[in-house]
Amino acid sequence: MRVPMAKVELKKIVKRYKPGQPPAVGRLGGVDLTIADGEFFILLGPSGCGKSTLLRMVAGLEEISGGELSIDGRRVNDVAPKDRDIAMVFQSYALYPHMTVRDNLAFGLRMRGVAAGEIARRIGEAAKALGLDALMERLPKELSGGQRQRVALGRAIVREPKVFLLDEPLSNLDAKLRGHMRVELKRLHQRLRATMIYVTHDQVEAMTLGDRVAVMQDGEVQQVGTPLEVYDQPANRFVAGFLGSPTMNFVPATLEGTALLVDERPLDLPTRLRGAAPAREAVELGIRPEDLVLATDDDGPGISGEVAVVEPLGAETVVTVDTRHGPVVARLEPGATTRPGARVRLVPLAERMHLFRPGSGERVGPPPPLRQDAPPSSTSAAEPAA
Amino acid sequence: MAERRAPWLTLALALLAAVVLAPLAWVVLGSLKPSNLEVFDRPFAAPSRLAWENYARAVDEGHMGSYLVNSLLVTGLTVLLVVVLGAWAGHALSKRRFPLRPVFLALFVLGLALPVEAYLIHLGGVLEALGLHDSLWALILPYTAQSLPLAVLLFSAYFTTLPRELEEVALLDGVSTARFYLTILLPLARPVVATVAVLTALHAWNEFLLALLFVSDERAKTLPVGMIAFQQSHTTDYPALLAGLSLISLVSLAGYVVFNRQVVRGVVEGAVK
Repeated sequence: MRVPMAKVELKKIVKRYKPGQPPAVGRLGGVDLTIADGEFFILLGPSGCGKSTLLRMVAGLEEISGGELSIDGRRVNDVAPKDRDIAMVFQSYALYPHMTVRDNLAFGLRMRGVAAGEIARRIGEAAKALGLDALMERLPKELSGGQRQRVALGRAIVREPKVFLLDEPLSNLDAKLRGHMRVELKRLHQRLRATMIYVTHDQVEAMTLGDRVAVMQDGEVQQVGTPLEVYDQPANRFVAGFLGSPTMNFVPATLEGTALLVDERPLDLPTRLRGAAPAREAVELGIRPEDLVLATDDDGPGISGEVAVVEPLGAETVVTVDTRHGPVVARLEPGATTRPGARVRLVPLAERMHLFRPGSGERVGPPPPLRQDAPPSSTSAAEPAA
Repeated sequence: MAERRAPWLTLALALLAAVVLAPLAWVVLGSLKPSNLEVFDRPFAAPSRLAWENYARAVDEGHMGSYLVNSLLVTGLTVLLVVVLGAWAGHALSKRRFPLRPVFLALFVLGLALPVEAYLIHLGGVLEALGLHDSLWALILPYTAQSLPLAVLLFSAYFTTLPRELEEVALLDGVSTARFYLTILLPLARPVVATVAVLTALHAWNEFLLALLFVSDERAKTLPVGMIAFQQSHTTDYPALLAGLSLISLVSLAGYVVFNRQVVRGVVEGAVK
């Protein structure tokens, strides 16, 4: 199957809903993104962050109030959706309810005047690739959610567009089917090597599918990077808190020379963070649950508290500890032995610590290195400052 | 377990059915009676003999052939206009945002509330000014206007239930507005189209007042008014008149029986969903 590829460039893209409205009040306040040929690019963010609006602007379904959008080097701001050479898959699938699967696949091609023989060839290939052969004469209402989703994908594939746009395509499926379709989508992209822009609020989809991820908040792109970059080296507190399940823990702390005071007890700072901010500055320590080590005594550096909940999940044990800063979650080895009510201490791994400025949420100091293949337990816990 | 209907409800429905069916039974029985005397003397008694010749007289002397053509033309064109314009307006009111949209919607609702007597005289003036008096258009246009409000509301309610993405997919597929309307919207709204078509057809087929007032030319008369020929200043041929009315009613009854299910479905989909 031949699928042309294309680079998509967004330069200072702005969306205003009222003329003269300053960009910051509108939904999108000047987005710059470059999506490479054949890239699986994810727009990730919470509801209302503008990710779907951005995708719809690329599709031509929303007007672009400012900036420049180009596909394959051609400016398409004012080009009609049908002439942008894109195909879109919607969350609700949007299949034509009164047409069979075959007609749903063929309709867009017929509208473009593609020859009947060519339509049959493309439909045959897509049906085979997506396992739709047995469903071709059925109406959408006779299909399951997963089958409808495959038809919606098939309809996009037969178009052989330069760019695929996918707007939360798995959100209407149950958890099991979502996992299955995620794998199918990944396979599809590996086979087609087409440029795909995928909108989701689901970080698992973002991490598993994307070549690169753009994390968005309030109409602004917060960070663009590979899934591991945005996970391990979040640009700010929002990105750090949005990615990861359980989410990153945030604890107030104070910089004190080469140490970080948490609960008035000093933790040794890694070299990269020493001198990153003036002494005595209040910061927020960000630490992922898998980067905490449990100590059963309550006397030493770290975050002290009382175990509230223990969740043995088989492959790991998740422990929630009530501290004076609120609940702190740690992800431990499966055999971790503790029980609710026990007084414990959670010690952050020094090289995995993140510091953020309270209020603005900006990162303080350089980020930790990308996580390597070594498991978290092989790294050492922060030692008490000398 | 089947739900048992309360006896009082059955009785009430039976009474209602009797009220509706009694005049029809009287018309059909009268149409088969040989004389005026028998029609009024024993209204609900069986005819002394089946006078089928009343029907032949109604068709021949009543010129039902030409009136039938007029009625079919008026009904067909009215249905076409109401479905096309109603679906179009209904779609715009449910899916588009434009200035004064609530005002347009309110005007359509107002159309439902206005009795024909309220605008009869002005309508006559408008038709006269347009030179449409005594033509089929003097009926087609007012009938269309009368049926449009309900049609617009039913279509609008139905289209509100269609996802916006359907239109967007069509836009991405390069479907023109007219094509989207014909190949996507109307086929999807089939139950509503059936409802609107049947209700409009019944109205246009049976309407009497406007047809009596605005058409006096024999060549433009429709069936209900044409039948008046049997009513003269001193004598009226009731059996022939009733035979003609039976034939007219038969068409609308047959239409309703055939489309009954779609009509109910269309009203429910438009009103509840």
